[in-house]
Amino acid sequence: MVRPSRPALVLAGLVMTASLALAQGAGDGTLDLDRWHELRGGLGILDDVHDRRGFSLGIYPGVSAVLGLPGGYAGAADLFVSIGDGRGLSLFAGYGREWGARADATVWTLGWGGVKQVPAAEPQLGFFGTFVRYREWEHDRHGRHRGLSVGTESGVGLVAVTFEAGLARSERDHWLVVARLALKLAFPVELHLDDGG
Amino acid sequence: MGIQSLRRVLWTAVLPLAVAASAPAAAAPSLEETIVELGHTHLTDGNRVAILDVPEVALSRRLDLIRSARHHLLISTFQWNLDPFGSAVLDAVKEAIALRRDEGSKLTVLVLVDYTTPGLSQDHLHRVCRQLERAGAKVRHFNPPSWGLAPLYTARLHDKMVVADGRRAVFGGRNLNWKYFDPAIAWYDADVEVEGPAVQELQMHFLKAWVTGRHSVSLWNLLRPPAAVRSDLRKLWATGRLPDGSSPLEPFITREFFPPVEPRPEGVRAAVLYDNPLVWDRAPTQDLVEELVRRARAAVDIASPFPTFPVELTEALVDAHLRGVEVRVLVNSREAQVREGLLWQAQLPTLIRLVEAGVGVWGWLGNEPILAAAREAGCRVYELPGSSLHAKLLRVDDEVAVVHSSNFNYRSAHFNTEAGLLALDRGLARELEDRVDAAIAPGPRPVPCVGAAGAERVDGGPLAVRLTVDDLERMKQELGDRGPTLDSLSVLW
Repeated sequence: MVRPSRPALVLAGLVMTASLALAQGAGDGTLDLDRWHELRGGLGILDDVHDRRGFSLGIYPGVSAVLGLPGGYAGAADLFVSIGDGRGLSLFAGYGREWGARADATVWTLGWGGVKQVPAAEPQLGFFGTFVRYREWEHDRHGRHRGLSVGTESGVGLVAVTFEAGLARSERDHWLVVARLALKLAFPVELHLDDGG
Repeated sequence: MGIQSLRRVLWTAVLPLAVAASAPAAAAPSLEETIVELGHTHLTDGNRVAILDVPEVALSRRLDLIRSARHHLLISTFQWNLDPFGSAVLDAVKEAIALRRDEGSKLTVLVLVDYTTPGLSQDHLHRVCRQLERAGAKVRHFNPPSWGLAPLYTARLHDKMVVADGRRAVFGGRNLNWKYFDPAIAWYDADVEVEGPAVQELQMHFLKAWVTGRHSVSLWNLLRPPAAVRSDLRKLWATGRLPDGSSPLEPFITREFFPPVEPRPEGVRAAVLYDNPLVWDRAPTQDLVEELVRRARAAVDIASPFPTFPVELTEALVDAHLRGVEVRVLVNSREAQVREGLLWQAQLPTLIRLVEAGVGVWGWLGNEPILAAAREAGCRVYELPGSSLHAKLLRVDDEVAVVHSSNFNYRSAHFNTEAGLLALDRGLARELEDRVDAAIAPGPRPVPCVGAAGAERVDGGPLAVRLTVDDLERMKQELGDRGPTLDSLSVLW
């Protein structure tokens, strides 16, 4: 943990109850929101830094059991690659295949997030992200479908859960709802690209 | 050597010494500076603080607080069940709303609950929330799934508070159900009742958490980078405003929500310790607790029902013990454990490390020993110590007392919202010391017992017993080689 040196913040933090009276503002005694926070030095939040690391590359292969619409159930395999700046901003992209009872699909994913460290007694990797997903598949009866959905994926260690919702449309203007839950067995890998600041 | 050369030599030798002597010494931060900086908090004077560790008193103070509210009530809880005790609190809230309405005024009631409350408790909570909303309260889930999708941010609400009119509050370890208030089976727990400027510090945190829920579930924020959304929330906590300058707190910045509060002349200097994983990577409370233990000079008492401590805290306790500080750790014994199976075993690495290092660790025995003594004597006891330990306490030397909702463990450090009070007060520190003294006193402990022959006394025995070498061996056997596996699953505890 980096402990910043902020004498001004500390001084502000030691201001006694008189600061509350001052922060009430003039006249009607209504609290002055800005002054309230200035007197508290912003609680030091914006200077608080934990575990800032440099750029990292994440590799995240996994296999999933999928339930939901369309198709009821399916098996899936995908590979995500993420790149993060060590300050929380991270982007990932992925390609996958699904094998369902009635259709096989090809899936492209793009999202915010990626492989990251999960705080635990035994530090380990996990995955957190929101995504937009493009899915293409041939349906037995309705032909080729193209679908767009949004979702979230959260994982710790070898296990991840994905929630997804969206719509798909066929070439014959047949619309389908996409709503899926997947349980994934994943193998996250993180490579540090530099030491960072 | 000429005069010029001599002068040059003297300046060369003396001047650096003079500069070094005149430079201010790099002083270690004072206790108050440490509290403010690591705790991300603000010390206020003039607070009235009472520790509530008797179930009946804790319930009655909450009910009194709710009934006394004139303008607003802010309530957060992890559990709220429809048993007689949870229902008593629910009914008090409903009656207070109705009463103010009959008087021609409006009582604003805001209730923050968690979405991850497990199992049957979630069903109870759902029904409580519906009743609250029907009565006119507003209820929000902290960090709920948005747009039908799972919450990306893993934060969970674990703080428990009731705040009335920005003047009084009760907060600490208790949720709202019978496990905390039924004298026959309640856990031993602790809250604080606070009246004074510290209450508005707590209230501001609640209001920020309240408005945060709406912010993070918008479709726009669902699609933004999580880091950007977190940055917004950190800005809100630090400045009261979002990056665009607007403030979702504006409706609450009124004299009614934040009335002028006079400090009490005999009041206590205190700081609210609040944690929120949407804002901080690591709980300020955890950072501060660890540093306070490192700074301890004479004594540390710490109580936690779920001591899966981060290694930093465990080692701070061991180091304190090794440098001569009297360290007393109060946890649950195996018999009085709140949670079984893996959740109990997950604590073993911490306990083993502490006991092996010679740190004094006492296991709370619960009600069973005194109930057994009563059964043998054929009478009935009414003063029960608590079926399990649930209090989260810290006392450092004779000056720092902390009562909190944080278990000082991994979940509290990284995944939970938590709220508690740190008091810089000898009296409150002594109260916590006395409570630990009473818990570990070897006995006998005469307790009134009422039977057919009238009132008598039975030996209630000690409330807690020190873990010994035999316990160490038993714990090691039970843990086996599962340590690394349990460590890797520590996000769960």
